Amino acid sequence: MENQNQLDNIFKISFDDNAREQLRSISLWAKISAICAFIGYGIALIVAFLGKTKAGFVTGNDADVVGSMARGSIVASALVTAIIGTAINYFLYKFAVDAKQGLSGIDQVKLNTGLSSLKTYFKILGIILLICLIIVALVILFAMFASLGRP
Amino acid sequence: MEENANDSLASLNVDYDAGNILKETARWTRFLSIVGFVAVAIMLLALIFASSIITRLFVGMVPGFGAVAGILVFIAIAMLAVIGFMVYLLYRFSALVRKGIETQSQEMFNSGLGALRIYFVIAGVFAILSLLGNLSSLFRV
Repeated sequence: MENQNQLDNIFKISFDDNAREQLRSISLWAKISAICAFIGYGIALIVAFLGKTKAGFVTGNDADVVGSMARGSIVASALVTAIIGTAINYFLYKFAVDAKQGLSGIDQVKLNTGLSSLKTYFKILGIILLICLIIVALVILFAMFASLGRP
Repeated sequence: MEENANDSLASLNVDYDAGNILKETARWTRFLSIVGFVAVAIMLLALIFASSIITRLFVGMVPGFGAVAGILVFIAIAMLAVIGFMVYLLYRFSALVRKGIETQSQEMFNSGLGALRIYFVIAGVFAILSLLGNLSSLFRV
């Protein structure tokens, strides 16, 4: 009896029909988002590697130098975006797959693994946001100090 | 009685692990949503106060920009409204799921999951649209 009460306390919230339906829909749309992102990064890389870079504002030999520099920076930024984006969306995809399998097979461990991937996905997004906020704060600080230093 | 216990064990529950994972997820989504609210507010204010200056600058650089400036500002405000709604859904998910687990309320927990579902539906639609945009840029190479 005591054990039953303990079980009732721990498992008072369950993934009932409504919650399961919600989670199924979440995992479906998460999978669509992740797959679209993977394809998008691939296309962005192809465009970055094959695309023509115009340096219309520069003429002569300088145009080639400026063009190759611009191409290099475009490829580098596309690569960095693709690497970070793929890493983030991998966790979203893993969540979608594991959560769906957990729901279909009534597998608590699999479902928890999926939820853990969702947590990691939002955690990485949060950390990236924190880094961006720190960079913005530093830029503002440097700009303030630079403006104070001027006569 | 034993049958009920077996039923409970055979179904999917928010056990200790799942509860902890969901609470931590809610903590991160709360952080993301609060920063998102601030960012959307700043962008909206910038759009309202600086739109006339930006329009004047672009009219000088691109002839005929004045005709489409109003439409572009409207599109930007609509985009910000959608992003603001997504941020609100993320906040709603974090608040409801956390409260649902803490107060053991199934209804609140389900409402939180519902908010996350709408968030991912909108994110999915955005992902499809951006993929179409990427595809069109591929054909222009």
